[in-house]
Amino acid sequence: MAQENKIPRTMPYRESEQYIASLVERCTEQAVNSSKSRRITISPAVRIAAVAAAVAVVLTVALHLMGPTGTDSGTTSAPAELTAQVATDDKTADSNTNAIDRLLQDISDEEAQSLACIYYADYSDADL
Amino acid sequence: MAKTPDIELAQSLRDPLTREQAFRTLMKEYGHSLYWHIRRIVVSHDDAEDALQETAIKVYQNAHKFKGESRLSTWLYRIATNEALLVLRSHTRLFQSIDSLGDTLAARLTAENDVDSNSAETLMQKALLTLPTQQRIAFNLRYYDDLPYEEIARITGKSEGTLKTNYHYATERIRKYLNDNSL
Repeated sequence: MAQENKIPRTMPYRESEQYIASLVERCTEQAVNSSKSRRITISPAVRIAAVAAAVAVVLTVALHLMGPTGTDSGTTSAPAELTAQVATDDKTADSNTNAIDRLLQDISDEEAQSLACIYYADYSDADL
Repeated sequence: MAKTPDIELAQSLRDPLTREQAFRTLMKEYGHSLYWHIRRIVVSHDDAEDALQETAIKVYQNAHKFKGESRLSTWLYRIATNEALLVLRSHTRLFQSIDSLGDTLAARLTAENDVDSNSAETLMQKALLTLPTQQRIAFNLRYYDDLPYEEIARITGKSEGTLKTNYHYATERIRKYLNDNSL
């Protein structure tokens, strides 16, 4: 159609052929490398055990922080003894908190790696 | 550059031993066209780069699934189109249609790219951005990539009849836009 010739077929962008070629190369390399990076998967059993351990630690810490139960006659402890008890509890709590942090960090790292697996749609060409 | 026959490439893609090399060949032969196809949809070079990267990954990850029941180019363009549309959707708000991005993309066309805003090529792109996205994609595949309607139908999922009608409508609309803007 004569009128259609008035409509330009070139693009207004300035990127050179060379630039596009190098971009394509980069994308190609990254695609190949992304599929070569190791994927770590955690078996469900390991995951459940890790979560259960974390819950156990959290419960233990919570119980400690709630304070001692079933003590004697309800009389107030001497300040020095109370301070010492709190200090011990704090130390235990800190130790348990560190344990939780370590455990959660381990889970997070492996979870993050398993979540980094690329999930993709079914790109079979059977329905094209 | 003479293209490697589809059958040969398809077989190599399915074989784990030759897949990587076949993929590299594929990207060398089609990468340039795929980039421009994506760029025409998303306008921004950065977005086009992202979508092309995702396309390359998806192609490589799914290479073993290509059975050769369609042309390789059809398969590639379909993946590229999907990735480009995903990028466009990432720019929309909840419930906002990507068809409403026309003005935003037209503004990006001149703001983000070093283009002459009054050139015929720029006006042409602005005219295209007034079309609904799917219509614009179909027009691009026909006008710039010179693909047959049969292949465009497979890429877009539209019927050939609809594509031909829409192409005619799009051409009229573009011509009117260019005339109204003194081309």
